[in-house]
Amino acid sequence: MTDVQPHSLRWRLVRRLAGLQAAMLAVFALLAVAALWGGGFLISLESEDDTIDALRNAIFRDANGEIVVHDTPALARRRDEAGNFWFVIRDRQGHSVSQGRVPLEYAKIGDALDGIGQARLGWNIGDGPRPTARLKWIDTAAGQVQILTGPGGTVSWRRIGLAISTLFLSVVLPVVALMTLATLIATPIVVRRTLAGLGLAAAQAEKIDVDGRGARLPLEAVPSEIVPLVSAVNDALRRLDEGYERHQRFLVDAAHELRTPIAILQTRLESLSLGPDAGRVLEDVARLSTLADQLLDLQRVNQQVDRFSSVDIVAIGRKVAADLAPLAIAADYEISFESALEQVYVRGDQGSLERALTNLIQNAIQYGGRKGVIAVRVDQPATISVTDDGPGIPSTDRERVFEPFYRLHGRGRGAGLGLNLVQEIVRRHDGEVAISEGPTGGACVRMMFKPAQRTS
Amino acid sequence: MRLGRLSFDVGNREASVGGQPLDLPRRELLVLEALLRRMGRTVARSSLEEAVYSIDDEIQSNALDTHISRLRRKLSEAQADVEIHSIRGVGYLLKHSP
Repeated sequence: MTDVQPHSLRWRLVRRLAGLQAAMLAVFALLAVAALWGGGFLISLESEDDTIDALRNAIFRDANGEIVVHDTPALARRRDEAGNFWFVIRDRQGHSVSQGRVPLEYAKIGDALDGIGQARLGWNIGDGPRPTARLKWIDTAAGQVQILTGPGGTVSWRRIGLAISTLFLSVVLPVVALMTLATLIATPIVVRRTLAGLGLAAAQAEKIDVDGRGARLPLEAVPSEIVPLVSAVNDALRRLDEGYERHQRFLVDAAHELRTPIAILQTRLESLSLGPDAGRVLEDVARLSTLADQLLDLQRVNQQVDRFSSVDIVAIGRKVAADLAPLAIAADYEISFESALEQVYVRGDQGSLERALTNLIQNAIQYGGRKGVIAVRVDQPATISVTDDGPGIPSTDRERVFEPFYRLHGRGRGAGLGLNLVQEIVRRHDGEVAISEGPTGGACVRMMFKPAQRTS
Repeated sequence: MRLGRLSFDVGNREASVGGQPLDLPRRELLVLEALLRRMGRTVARSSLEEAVYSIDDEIQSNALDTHISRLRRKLSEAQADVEIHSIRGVGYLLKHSP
């Protein structure tokens, strides 16, 4: 499988949102500047600065101390460009020089503004069109002079670029930075809160395994955009459940149906006089019957989880040992039961646990070497063990004997399902089963459960 | 009730082996009867004690074992072809031993 790097919704959102905000602000700022410029309110003022710049290098004094303006190329260009080119230059000593048609509003205004470093003079938006002007004190070759001039001519590209850059740096960029920061902080929080419900669904999904039926993912806290996915998963789970149920029913039915003809066969064979081979034929049929029974037991165990209650494994141990004692004694064993405690409770199904212990004792009877003691013990915290004095189970086989249809002894009555059933039952009870060696080298099989409080 | 060469007359509460009456004290007879009623199957220690002792009796912990061992010896001496197996921690079992 190729390793697909899942993309992060959070960072994708942050990137896209920040990008969108920046683009929209830039477009908005450009539009606003263009609109103002188009209306003549904003950028047209800037052209006076070009005139002032051109004048700055053209002002000198003659021998009498009068201010003179040399016609520099820059100044000539300004005059050509501007429709109505005018300026007034004066110093604090009262010398002044002017060119062009000075608007009436500004004819004497410079005299009153000696104390003002610079000023923009204009109108309010909504007033009739009137000339605007720019006043500024600058240092020139003629000393400090006051220049008053009007608009006109083009604004140099450098100045436009500078103005726009200033606008972007001072307004757009800080706003974009601020919004990006807000997006950066808010988006992960929003994403996390929104997707919190998914964590719940994921936790639920973690618990789904092959033994649990009817598990569904919760839809309540899941955002509506993800509901289709969760619903689809739930539908898939439902279909799997149905398939599994059908499968289970078929296996139970099959095992059940198998038992009837075997039972009939057994009865018929017993009524026949088969001669010296009768024993072996009956043994074969008994083996068939055991196999069918074990298959059925295996399937039934899967359906009993909901019937769990508090059961005493000491009582179970004593009962099963008593029930199987005749079989054990008939096979030349002694059988004993010991418990460290009077009662030990676990949550479980009485029938299944009896079934598991019965299988272990039957195994001990069958493979315990037909000598010695079969010892059934209950130990703390909640362990049932069966130990025999037989040859034991080689350590290399101790895992494999739990596999279905695995048989340690090629011949024998077993179908290889007995220990598998034990394992299934113990697992169903949240327990563990393990094989070790008894004190005399025999097999010791332990079923370890979790102890429960005595409740019912 | 019969098992091996042993027979037990429930009405008169008498045991005999091959026609010869077996002389047993009352409590041993009660033990034998309880075992015979479930011959071939395990009889829990507690139900044997219930059968042999009334509520008033004081039970000594090894009294039942004493009765069983005496009974065992007498049955074997009379060649009754039955055997009492003890199942430690559970109880006793009487079965035919050919």
